Amino acid sequence: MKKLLIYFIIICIITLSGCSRFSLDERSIIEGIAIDIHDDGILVTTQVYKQSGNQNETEKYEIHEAIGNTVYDALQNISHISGKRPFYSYNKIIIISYDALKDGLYNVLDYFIRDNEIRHNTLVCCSIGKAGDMLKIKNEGQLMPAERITTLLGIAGIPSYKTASGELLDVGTRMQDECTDVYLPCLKLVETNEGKIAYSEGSVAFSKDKPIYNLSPEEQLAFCYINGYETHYPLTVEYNTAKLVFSLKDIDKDIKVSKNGNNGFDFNIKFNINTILEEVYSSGKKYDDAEIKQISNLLGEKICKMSNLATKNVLLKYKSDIFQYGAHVRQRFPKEYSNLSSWHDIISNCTFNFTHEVTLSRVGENNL
Amino acid sequence: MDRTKIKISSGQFLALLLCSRITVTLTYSLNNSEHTSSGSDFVNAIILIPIMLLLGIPAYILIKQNKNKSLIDRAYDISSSFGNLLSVLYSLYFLFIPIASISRFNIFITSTIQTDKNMFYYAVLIMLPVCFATIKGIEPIARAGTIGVVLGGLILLTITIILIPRFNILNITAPALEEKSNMFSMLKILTSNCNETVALLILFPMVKGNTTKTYIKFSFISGIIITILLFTIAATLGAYAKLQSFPYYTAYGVAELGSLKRLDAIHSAVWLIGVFIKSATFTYTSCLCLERIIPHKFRTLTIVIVGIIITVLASIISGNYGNFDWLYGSVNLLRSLLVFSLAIPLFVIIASNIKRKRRVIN
Repeated sequence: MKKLLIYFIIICIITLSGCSRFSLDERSIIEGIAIDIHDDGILVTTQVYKQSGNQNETEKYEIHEAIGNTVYDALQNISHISGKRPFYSYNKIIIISYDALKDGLYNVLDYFIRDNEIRHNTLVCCSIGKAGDMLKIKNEGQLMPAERITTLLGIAGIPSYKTASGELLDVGTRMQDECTDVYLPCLKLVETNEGKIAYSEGSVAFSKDKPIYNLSPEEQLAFCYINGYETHYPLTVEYNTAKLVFSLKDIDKDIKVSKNGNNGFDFNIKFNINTILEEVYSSGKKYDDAEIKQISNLLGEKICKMSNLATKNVLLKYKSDIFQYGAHVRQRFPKEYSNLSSWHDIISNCTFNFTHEVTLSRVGENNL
Repeated sequence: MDRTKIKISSGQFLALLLCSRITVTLTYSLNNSEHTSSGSDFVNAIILIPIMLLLGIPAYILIKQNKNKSLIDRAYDISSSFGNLLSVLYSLYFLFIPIASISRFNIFITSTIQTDKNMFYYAVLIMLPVCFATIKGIEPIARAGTIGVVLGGLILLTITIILIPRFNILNITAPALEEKSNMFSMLKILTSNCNETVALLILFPMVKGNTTKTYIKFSFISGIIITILLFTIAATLGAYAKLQSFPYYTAYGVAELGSLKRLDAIHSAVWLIGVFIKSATFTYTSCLCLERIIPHKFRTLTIVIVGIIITVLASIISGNYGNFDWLYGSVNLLRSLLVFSLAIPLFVIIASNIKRKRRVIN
């Protein structure tokens, strides 16, 4: 029996030694995917890690492109052209051009949501202009890795991709959820003397699966505060002639929902802000700790104002519930929610009130 | 297989039952049911606890009346032909469980991980160690089960903790929002997988200690574990789970611990351990049912034949999604579970009691 066991282990070692019968050089290790609309169908561009035996070759990545009737079809065509089987596990980003979104986000993302190989925390964003060009940006003569684009989106104040927002999982959940709308970070390509540069162009709110409104950077931050997504982006408060820069250690939101007489709901949103003073820029006047503490309340007022404006512009004007207010109603008032024909129909009957409590945890070197 | 000499501790028995239960929950797929994952699923897991206790009543009566006689022994007390009939029927029922488990694993592997391999390959790879373990007996299986449940439990706990920052409580919907048929459908799926209750009817004479207490512990612990697992999926994936073939696999894929990524590989490892222990337990139980029909000298041959049957059927069934859906149709499973865990045992208890009373009167 022991001999049999040894033979079994040897067979297992031989047959289960790799992840696939395909060797590494037979696979395209995809780092980034871009989707555009083309006259003949859908154009998919992939940035692929270049496997080369030539040590003198410095280019690490290469671009593959193909057109297909659907996203899957185009990806298959890339595979046919390159002669390699695609490997999506290392894919970092899916960039969709604004034009491609006009056919509906569901169509574009459906394949990726259903695929088992792709990471469901892959970042999804849209681009103004051709998405494929984002993957072709050159830096010091070489293709810029797709991973750098995800970092770029993080630096630009959009919540880090380690939080839920902008990830395939979050986008897919919002797509499936009847009372919540999708939000995507947005990129723009700009031509400069030094070449093409990608930069963050705020974000896009969706209604159902169509883009409907471009959020300003302030609205985008307010979106993060209301949803409870992690963001430490510093805010500047102006007081008399001074400018005080506060960074947000953490910001908790407490959303209370109650029914109102207009067949709608009243939302009372309270922000508990824990902040640190980073910089005081004033012409001569010095502020003591007590004074700074008072001024920090202005930060709370600013956040409330930003949130109010974002709610008005995105939710009340365009009926795009990227803030998940509807999910709060569904959770607190399930019976009333189930009687609604659609949450989006009663949005205009709702009111929103924002309050704040600011805790200043550090002023320079003085720990309060 | 002399049952009177073979004994496993109640702790080991609990580990075997838990291994079997966790494997089913961890590997559930939404493909084969009309049900779609929802935030209120975990409420069903809580309702499952009293259902499991109810299903255990016949076993409780059997244990209370005679701790050394399993359901099959009691059937032989009524008549030998009835005993033979029940032996074959229960053996077939237990045979079906490893077939279903291996088919599901086969479908998972060939659709998700290694799409280029054929179904027969994995069925053989799993059944070789399963047959080896079955030949060795229940004690080594129980020891492997204890290691498996500790290892699996630690892994599940770790990944659940890692996933906590990803929980979105807004994904949890109130049961009031669910359609009653939808909620009932999930409860049916959960109940129909309680095969451990049937195994208890056959295996309890081999367990040292208080088996009733062990089963009650099992009902509560498994109920709590299923609740946590279903809550984790609902809070992490929400409505996204609707489009995922294997929701736990997807959820574990987004779990990251520092530079450790793609923890879905760990999910597959736990699944593999679970499939091995579950298949070995039920293959052993299936062969145990036949011990009075087939002479002891043919025991190894019986296990090998049973192993070949499981391998072939699992390969055929997992080769076609339609076959698998038919086999795993929760209504069929629920009906057979109710027959094998409640109807037949209650009939055997009543009939054997009547026969005993008649003997006493005569």
